[in-house]
Amino acid sequence: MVGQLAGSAHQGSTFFAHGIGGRQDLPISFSQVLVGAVAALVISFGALGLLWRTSRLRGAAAGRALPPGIQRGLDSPTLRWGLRMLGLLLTGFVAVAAFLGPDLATNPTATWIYVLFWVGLVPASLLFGPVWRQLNPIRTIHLGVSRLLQTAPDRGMLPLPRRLGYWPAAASLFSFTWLELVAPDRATTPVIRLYFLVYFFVHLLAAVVYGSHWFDRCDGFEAYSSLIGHMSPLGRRNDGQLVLRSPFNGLDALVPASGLVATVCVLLGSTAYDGFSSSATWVRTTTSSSLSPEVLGTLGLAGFVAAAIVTYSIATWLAGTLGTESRRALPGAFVHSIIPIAAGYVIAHYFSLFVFEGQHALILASDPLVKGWNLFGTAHRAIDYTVISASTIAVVQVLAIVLGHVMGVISAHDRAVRLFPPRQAVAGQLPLLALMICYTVGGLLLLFTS
Amino acid sequence: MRSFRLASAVVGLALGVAITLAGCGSGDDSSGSGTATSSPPPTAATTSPSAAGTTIDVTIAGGKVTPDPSRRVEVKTGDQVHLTVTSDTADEIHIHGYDIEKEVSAGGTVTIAFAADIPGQFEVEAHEISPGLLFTLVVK
Repeated sequence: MVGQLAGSAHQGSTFFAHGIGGRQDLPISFSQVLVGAVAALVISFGALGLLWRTSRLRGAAAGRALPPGIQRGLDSPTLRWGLRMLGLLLTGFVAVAAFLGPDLATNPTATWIYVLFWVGLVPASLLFGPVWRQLNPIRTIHLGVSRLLQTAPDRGMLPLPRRLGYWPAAASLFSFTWLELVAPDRATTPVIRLYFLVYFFVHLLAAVVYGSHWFDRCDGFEAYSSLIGHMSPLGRRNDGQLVLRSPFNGLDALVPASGLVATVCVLLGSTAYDGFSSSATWVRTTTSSSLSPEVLGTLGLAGFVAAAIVTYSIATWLAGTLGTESRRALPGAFVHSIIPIAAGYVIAHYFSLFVFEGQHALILASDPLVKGWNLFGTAHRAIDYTVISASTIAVVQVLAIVLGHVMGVISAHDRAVRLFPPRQAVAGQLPLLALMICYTVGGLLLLFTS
Repeated sequence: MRSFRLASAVVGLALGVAITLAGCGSGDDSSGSGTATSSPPPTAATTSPSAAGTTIDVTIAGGKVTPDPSRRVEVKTGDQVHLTVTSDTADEIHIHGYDIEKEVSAGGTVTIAFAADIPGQFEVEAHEISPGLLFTLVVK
């Protein structure tokens, strides 16, 4: 269908000027917006009346232990080292294309980074938990460096300051979403090379200074994978056993720390901005404005992230005021319930991109240096746009948003009945319900207007 | 485990409702537009049976695009599209997604004819002006 894919190489500085891939989803229909919004409302208030009155989730204490043999296999050094090597291999492959391949539209680097890696991290983490922790090549290289320096990898030169929390992850995720959505020439290899060289050295150096615990909460991609991975059926119980558990207990097990709200809001805000940036309103603004697209894009992205942080903070402040006798603020107490909503946004916005451009990534992989090779026999394939229909995409989008909402509401409900005295538990939940309904209806409207 | 069962019941219920209703929503739509859009016609059919097709004209002058580049041009899946671009400077016209690229010389006109057989939204842009958007092609 897209016959010219392999042949359309040219000096690709503007080829991806509007991001990766040429296709965007059709807007969802207004009846789907209505249905999604009504479902969200009904579920929210239904949950308030019907769900349990005392907390039932047990977080990290919950889960059914996997058979010992399977646990041993999953925790075995063989598998761990296999995954580390796989991470190095995949990174090495992309690095070869990025550093040795020409800067052409048919260089696979951009599609591999923005589609297979960045979008693919979400389904992988949803299924298997914090996968990037296992694959992260910087972690493996740090391990090697520690061997050379003959130091223990988890011991740095300085203790990792507690108040850093997730802030470095929030910053590194914001920088990556800025690269992905705003940066000039963001799909060209020099720009991607520069970004990841800086990323590599900053995080390697930080890990040498603070030890490998740095990666847990400070490497944006690991934090992203871990946060989404809290919804995985696979988890580690607080007694160390690998267990199968409900995503609600997984989310409940998330330990709040400073910067966590910002990290989750970066994910939510950046995805919302990506949807908004293709709306006619925003396109008209950028074409008529005297400001450059980069300045406007930066303001737009930062604005959406700030809006997510501000609305969440107001809701939790109100929840604290209405729900507790002590009127204390509860910033981190409900942030786990925003994660499924953010994941719903990501799936709604990038599901079709992953299906279509993921094929593109595999096609381009056969010729990483753009020399006419056909390493994996995929070079002459074309993207099959018939694998999913436009109406299937729309249904997946609405479902992702609504299901994210349902999971958010249930998670927040259980936390509220645990934190608040029974008489105030209903009132205390109202601000969060209102917030979630806003996010959900907002998400549906973004899909409708884009 | 009761909490899990209850929660999964709620999720299951929501899922059921959402599937039914989302299905209804998209059903309404396709009955409204009158044509099934599930499977695009094969690529070989470059000449569509309905000879009419859609004609789109764009002019680039002094770096400005007319008509307003924020417009959306809707065509039906499988339609034949004739895009004509007139530019006062040499440029390259790119239809995203379809990955069709054609040069236009200074003061010249280029016509691109293609079958719109991939549903979705596609940006059509010129590479030498900024912002380069000419219009958004909507294929449904």
